[in-house]
Amino acid sequence: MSQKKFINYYNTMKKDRDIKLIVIGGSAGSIPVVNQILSSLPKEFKTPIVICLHRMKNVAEGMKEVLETNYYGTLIEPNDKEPIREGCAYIAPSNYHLLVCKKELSFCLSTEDLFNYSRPSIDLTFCSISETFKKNMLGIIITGANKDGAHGMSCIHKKGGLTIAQNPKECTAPYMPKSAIELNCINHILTISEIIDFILKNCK
Amino acid sequence: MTKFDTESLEFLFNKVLLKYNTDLSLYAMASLERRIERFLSLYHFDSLYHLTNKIIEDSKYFDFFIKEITVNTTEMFRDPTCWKILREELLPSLKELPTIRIWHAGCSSGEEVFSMAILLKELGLFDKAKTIASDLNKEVIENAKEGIYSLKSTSINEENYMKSGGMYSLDKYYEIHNNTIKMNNSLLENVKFMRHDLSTGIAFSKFDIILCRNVMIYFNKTLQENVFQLFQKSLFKNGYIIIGKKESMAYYTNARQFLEYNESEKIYKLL
Repeated sequence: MSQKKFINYYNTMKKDRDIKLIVIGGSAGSIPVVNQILSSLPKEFKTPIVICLHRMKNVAEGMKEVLETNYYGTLIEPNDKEPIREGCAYIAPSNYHLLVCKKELSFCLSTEDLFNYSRPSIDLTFCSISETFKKNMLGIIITGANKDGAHGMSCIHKKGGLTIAQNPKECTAPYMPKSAIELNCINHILTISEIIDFILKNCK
Repeated sequence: MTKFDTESLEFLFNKVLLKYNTDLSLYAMASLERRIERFLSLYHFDSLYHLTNKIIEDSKYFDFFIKEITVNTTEMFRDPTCWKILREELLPSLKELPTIRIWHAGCSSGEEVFSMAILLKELGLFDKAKTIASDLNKEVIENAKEGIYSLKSTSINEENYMKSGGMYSLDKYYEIHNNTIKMNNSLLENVKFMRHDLSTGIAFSKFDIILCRNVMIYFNKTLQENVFQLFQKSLFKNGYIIIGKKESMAYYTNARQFLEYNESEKIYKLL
């Protein structure tokens, strides 16, 4: 779908509660979980996905390769001003914060200071995207060892979006989903297989 | 965080444009809004109107505001692979030129100016280089001239330098004072600093290499287009423009007049 068509599609949001965008946040250890989610999506799955994962600082390359999965869509590490398109999963580039420009529905990168010791910071990405997609988005926070992402989940929740935390019992590093749960901003606490079912049921 | 609506943001933009002739609406809105929010919280403004009044009354405070909302974080040899290409391919290919003219557009606190000077030294091209380093902000230019950085930043700078193919150890180029490092001032022998606002589009000279890395991410598409035009005007034929690793020239209308010299490092050559 072209960017223009996506903007039209985005404009229909005001009328319904459909999920038009999914964001996923976690730390480097969550790569297998992200792979599992992406690989479960059918060929016709169109909802764009924005993934913000912590990683070793200055390991510039490789995240896209690590996530080379059986995902049918296109996996992209977006450049600045790159438009959001359907059928794509976007992975926040290393050493930049990933924001979204409301007017153009495109990505906007920033090199400002680390936030929660992280760049990319999940909080900054989630909050920025929630300003644009409001109630028409789904935020998922998975295994991670830092409180980054908790505030971002509460931004999504405040704007009326849906929020899911991976069940901390299942996480190798439960601190990240736990911190979000403690902020009382989580709609569903689910295991990975339940998260996948939820996506398949509620997103196109 | 202090929130504000579009209306009060436009109010600020209009006032600033009238009083200071600075057009904030040309900046990338997602980043700018975030920086303004941060400013309001950090300096305890309860609304954007109060801030607007303050910066209209006090031009010194306006300078401070601009400095605070612009992002000046950088590293030496940031993205070492790019500096490796400069070291191994690009700069050696210019060694027959009588002078190598370089422009650091948006030099911030000067880390890349020093990186380039070190590189030129190690390649034996230092005396050929004539460099201009420009920034919007007077104060960061003063910081760049001093070349004083936190000791904390040295480990990442050293790591970047080694990865970029550095021949020695970075500490050859600085001295430690308490918790800071001071770069050798001789590295700036051929560097002229100047205040320059890219958004005015004013060309002032021609160059063989323009470095403008992670500056245009803070501009909107319209301003990016104008700045690319300015750079094109400011390059000699076969000159190079180097932008940030995740920036792109793809949206520039004259992009076809450039050759992708190195795609992944975003180095373009004017045809």
